[in-house]
Amino acid sequence: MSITWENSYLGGLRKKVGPQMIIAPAARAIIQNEKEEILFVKRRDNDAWVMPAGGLELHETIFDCLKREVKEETGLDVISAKPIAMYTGPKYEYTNGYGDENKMFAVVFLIEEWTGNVLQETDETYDAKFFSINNLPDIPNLYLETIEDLEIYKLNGTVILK
Amino acid sequence: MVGNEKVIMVVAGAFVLDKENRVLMQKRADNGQCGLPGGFMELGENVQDTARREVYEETGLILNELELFGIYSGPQYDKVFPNGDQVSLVQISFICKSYTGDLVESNEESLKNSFFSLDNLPNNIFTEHQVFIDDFLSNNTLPIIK
Repeated sequence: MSITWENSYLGGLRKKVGPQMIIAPAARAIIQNEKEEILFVKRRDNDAWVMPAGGLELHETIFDCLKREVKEETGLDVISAKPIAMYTGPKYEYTNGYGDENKMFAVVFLIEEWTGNVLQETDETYDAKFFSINNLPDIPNLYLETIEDLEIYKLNGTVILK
Repeated sequence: MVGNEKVIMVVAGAFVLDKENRVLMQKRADNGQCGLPGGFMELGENVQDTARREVYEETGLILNELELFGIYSGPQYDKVFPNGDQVSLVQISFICKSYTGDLVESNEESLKNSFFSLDNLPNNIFTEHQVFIDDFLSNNTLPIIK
């Protein structure tokens, strides 16, 4: 069961500070199958295909956040993962669909080991599929960038800092 | 607006190493203990620029390339400031082995900046930074995610 927006850290903070820009730490998951296809899930609120991801809550580490969001949005259990990129710069400051200004602070993890079966439906999603990099659905540029950074990371093993 | 309610805040800092592999530490103005330079992230910068800016403000050094050392987050790093502000810290630390500029001996933020050999670290290490020092000395695979 996902935390509702109202009960989430960010949801509660927004009630107090309104739409002004705040730093929003989050974890994003790149989950690949044995064919190196990447898992995307389809959001109920805007029908977008996205990588499993979500915001940090008060009681957890960034790795706990990763495991929780992956579990909530895909049903999978993360066993191990490593960061491959961090997106924290001014290029990633944006206004979201609800009018809130966020400073993205995303830690992108490559999931090294995972178990379980992918759920087609969760509280936040209504479809889930592994896509080949050469046959991606319509996805936001942010995920194309994430995939490019994954390829760069695989060449030199250094966390990409943006 | 948030009063004393707990807020997640990002801080960044660095292990700055000189050519003799000694690490830069500062005697803090707030409690006199020796810690790593660093500080809170601002809007309009990325987290490595936070580390660069804070190290420059506190020590006068201009850092070159940074390597991610670790991300430390979660309730064990929660703290309450003297003014009652409650924060949950997301701490990003970097390693830097190349820099320019002249080390400022002391300023408003640090009573004394100096490089310490890794086998001769000060014995009054800032309590909150002890875990970083321990992990740095442990030679674990980087980056460390805790």
